Amino acid sequence: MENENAGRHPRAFLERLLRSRSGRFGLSLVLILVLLPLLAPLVVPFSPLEMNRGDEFVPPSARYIFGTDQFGRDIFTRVLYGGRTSLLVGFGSIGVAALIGVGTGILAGYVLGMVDSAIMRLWDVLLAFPNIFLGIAVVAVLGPGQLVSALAIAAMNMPYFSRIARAAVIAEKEKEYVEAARAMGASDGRIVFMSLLPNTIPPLLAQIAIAIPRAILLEASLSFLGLGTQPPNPSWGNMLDDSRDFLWRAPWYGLYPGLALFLLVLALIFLANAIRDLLDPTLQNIE
Amino acid sequence: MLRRVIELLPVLFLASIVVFLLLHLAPGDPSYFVAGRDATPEELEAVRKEMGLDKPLHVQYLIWLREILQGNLGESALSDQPVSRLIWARLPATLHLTVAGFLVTILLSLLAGVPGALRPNSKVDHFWSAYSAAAFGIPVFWLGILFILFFSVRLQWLPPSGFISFLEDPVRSVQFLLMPAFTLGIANSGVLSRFIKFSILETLQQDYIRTARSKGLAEWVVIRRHALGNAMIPVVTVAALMVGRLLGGAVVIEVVFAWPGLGRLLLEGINNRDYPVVQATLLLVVLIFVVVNLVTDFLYVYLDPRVQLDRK
Repeated sequence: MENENAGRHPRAFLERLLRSRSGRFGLSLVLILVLLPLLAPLVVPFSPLEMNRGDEFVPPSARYIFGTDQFGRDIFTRVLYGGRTSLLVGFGSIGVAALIGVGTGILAGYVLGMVDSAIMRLWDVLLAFPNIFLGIAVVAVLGPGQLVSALAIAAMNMPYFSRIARAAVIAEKEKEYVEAARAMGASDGRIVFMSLLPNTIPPLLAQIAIAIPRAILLEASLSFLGLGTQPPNPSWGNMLDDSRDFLWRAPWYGLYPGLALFLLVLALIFLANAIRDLLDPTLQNIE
Repeated sequence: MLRRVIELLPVLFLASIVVFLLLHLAPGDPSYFVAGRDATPEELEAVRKEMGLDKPLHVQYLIWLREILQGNLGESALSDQPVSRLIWARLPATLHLTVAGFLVTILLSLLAGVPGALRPNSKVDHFWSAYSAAAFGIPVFWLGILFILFFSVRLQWLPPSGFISFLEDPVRSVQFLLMPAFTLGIANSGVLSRFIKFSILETLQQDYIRTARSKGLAEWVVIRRHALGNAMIPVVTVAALMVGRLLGGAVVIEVVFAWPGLGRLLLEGINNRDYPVVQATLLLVVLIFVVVNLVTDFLYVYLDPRVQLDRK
């Protein structure tokens, strides 16, 4: 019972999260990796597009702690600003996916019938494109760019949220308390928002937590392929793509953007695992 | 079983519509992309006629579908070559990569998954758990870059890019393959090793394992003859997931190692707005993925007689 309520009392939830080792580790690392990019202008003296002529390919040093690239741009600065891209697209696309996914899932589970079939078939079609290929297909239509790749990532995640919300609604709606609410004359809207929606929260939270690091990886992958965030705007993916031409001259260029990405994703996964264990220890999320 | 096949048809049908519409949803007139950038108005008109763009959309779709079903994937807008020939030329490289990547995935997943399950909470378990978490979180293209930095730039042991068929020159082929295959294998073993571990842990708690132990069988016999085999059955269910990840990973890895496969063909198609190439490659990927999903379901039923698909 305690677990079922975990999603509803943020303070108690946070306290229990901090009691687990992977929760503490994940959360503190995530905080650092979120704060640094957000406070980037206060942390670094350069701007991400600023070219320092004469300082091309400077190895890591006191002035440029991650070194510079082929235009003399400070890689540390660009890594921090690239982090903004990752966080924005990662959190933003999953937010949109959760909103649309949950909305359609509740609708499908509540009314069932034709509407349900139509929505679920749509998700089947999206899921028929494995992995990154839906993103590639969306970019093929709309052209490359940050917004387009974010939309593609959102679309890839909607089916999961929709299915979870639908299953939760179907499981809950025949229960006595919903019957009671209906007998008391509650409207459909009231039943959905007051009775059904809260019960979808724990599994959805777990899904959001694991979807964000995956979204961040996907954004980086799409940008690496030249389909996401376009240069000169920094993203960890397009920086790594750029670095491939200079691996012999500037190995540090290929190192640090990837390290930042790896750490952020790892920290978010640890956090997600801790959240999942708190919400439902029987769940084993494999992807 | 037949029901599962029939259920897939609408998905494939709808997916084919999506792929078909790629060309028509993109801004600009499709004939422009097919005829090429420097086409004259007359040529454009001819292409429009040839492509049937003057017909209603649903008629166009049916014509397109008929051609695809007959194996005619159209012609590349860029090189005028039949798309099927382009795909055929790129297929060997992608097959090398995915097959080798798959083998490495299995090898590393067993290595990382089995010991931890047999000795939970031991040092071995902790080591491989950390490995799995790292492998799961590492960006596949960065891993590839790290390999190049270490084995090509630093040690100069392996070539950073290039491909030769295994049939032509096995030794050099493996040299080219090592880094891409391990990149793909490590990235995928993060998921699979954890799945294997949990599957074995669960199997070891079954009653028949207790029975096997209580009749005095040696522990390794119990594990080898009773536990491992049964634990692998649910692992088959993630095969479809694995194939999706292998194909997706292959696209990225082909870029890192300049590997002349289907993934790069697809990306070149997108960059050149060569829609026939993009459509055919995407359709192929969807088809492979959906069929693997189906085969996985069948395999599961075949391996575990307790499971019945139509009972759902």
